[in-house]
Amino acid sequence: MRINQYSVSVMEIMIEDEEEFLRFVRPKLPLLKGYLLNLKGDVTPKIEDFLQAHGLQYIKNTEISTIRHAKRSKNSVEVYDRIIRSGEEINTHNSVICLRKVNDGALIRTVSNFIAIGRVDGTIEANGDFLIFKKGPKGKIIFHNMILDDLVEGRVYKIHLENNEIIIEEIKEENGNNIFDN
Amino acid sequence: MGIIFSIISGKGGVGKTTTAANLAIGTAMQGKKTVVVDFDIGQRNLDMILGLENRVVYDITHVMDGDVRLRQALIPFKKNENLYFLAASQTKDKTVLNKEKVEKVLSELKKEFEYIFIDAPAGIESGFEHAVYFADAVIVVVNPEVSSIRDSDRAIGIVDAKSKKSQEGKRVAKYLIINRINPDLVQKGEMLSSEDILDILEIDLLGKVPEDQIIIEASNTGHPVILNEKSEAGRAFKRISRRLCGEEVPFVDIESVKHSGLLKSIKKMFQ
Repeated sequence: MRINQYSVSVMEIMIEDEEEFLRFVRPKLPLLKGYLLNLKGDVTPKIEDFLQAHGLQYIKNTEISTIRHAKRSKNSVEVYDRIIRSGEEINTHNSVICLRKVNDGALIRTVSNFIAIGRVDGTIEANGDFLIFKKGPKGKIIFHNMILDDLVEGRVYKIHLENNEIIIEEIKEENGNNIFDN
Repeated sequence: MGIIFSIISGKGGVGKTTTAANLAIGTAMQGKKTVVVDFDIGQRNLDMILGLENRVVYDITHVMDGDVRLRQALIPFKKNENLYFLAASQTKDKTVLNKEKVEKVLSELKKEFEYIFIDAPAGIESGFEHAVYFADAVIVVVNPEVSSIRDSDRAIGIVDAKSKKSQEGKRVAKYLIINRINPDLVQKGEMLSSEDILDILEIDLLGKVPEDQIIIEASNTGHPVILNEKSEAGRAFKRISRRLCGEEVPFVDIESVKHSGLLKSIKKMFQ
């Protein structure tokens, strides 16, 4: 007997509308090729034809048990009190706090949480419980493999997981100002 | 002991060599004993900008290899006795540079000169790292366009990570020169403003240089713009040089559009 063990990144998508799903998937094809799609809901023949034509791997309506939360409990925090500049790449298992800006062309990848006090124009990939940041015009945010491309520039967001759902909240002071404006 | 300023950009073609030549002349005009070193091994240009291409016999690689003494390779700038030039090799490539040899040449220059300007190669490969490794300060030259800003941001990051001073836990001073500012485009919102650029890079502004057609002619004739009283860019380089020499020089607004004499007269008629 020979056993091969792999770690697979799974992206779970609930399909409610065939066209909406295809609109979501088409621009993200290069990214999605790195994932096993676990499709839930109505997986139509048109959807299956499309996925097969583009070489995407998928399973249908499968319950997958995850141990994501149990693994993450003992991480520490990395604090960066400097600008994270273009070309810099930070890969870590720890939570990341950036006290200054993350510039365009910088990449921070963490399996844990992320907080930036300065504006984020770089790319953030985080898989922890939450993100807090101020979105810059060029910021690209990926949370649990989901590209969050409808965030508004200049707003401060808290993005977190609740029952495995991604919740996006805008944070404001009581007077309506952004909390990081001053 | 002199101060080493590395002039860097990240992206090529932003006016780094022109800036190096003009600032070197500018500090020499302020009475400072100055040398400008072309570190762009294999692609030397600074000799032409300074009008010294016919005078280059020995270059920095000859000095590093011990073929000649430093004094033999230093070329005096005829228009100012305080300025000397050390050329790059045109026939070799950047692989000839090594840290020990570069340090030896630069420490000799530091003993002889007050201001040492290094014209770093564009990009961020090994030649660039040698050019910034021993820097006391870097002068970042950018054009008001996004690609130039992002590449410069990367170059600053490399200075912070890899220069000798940074590795010793000291701070490398970083100054910004915004070159080729076109007031019309800034006013129309088609060109990044100085505020936008400073907001991204967050380093100290040393000066702003306007777009100036005279620079092309100056480069082709080997007569740098700082020597031309009619050139707006030349006047900007003079102000920057004075700042480098420790003088408090107010910043001039070069981003607002200046109206011609006729337009001014017409405006006055309606006031």
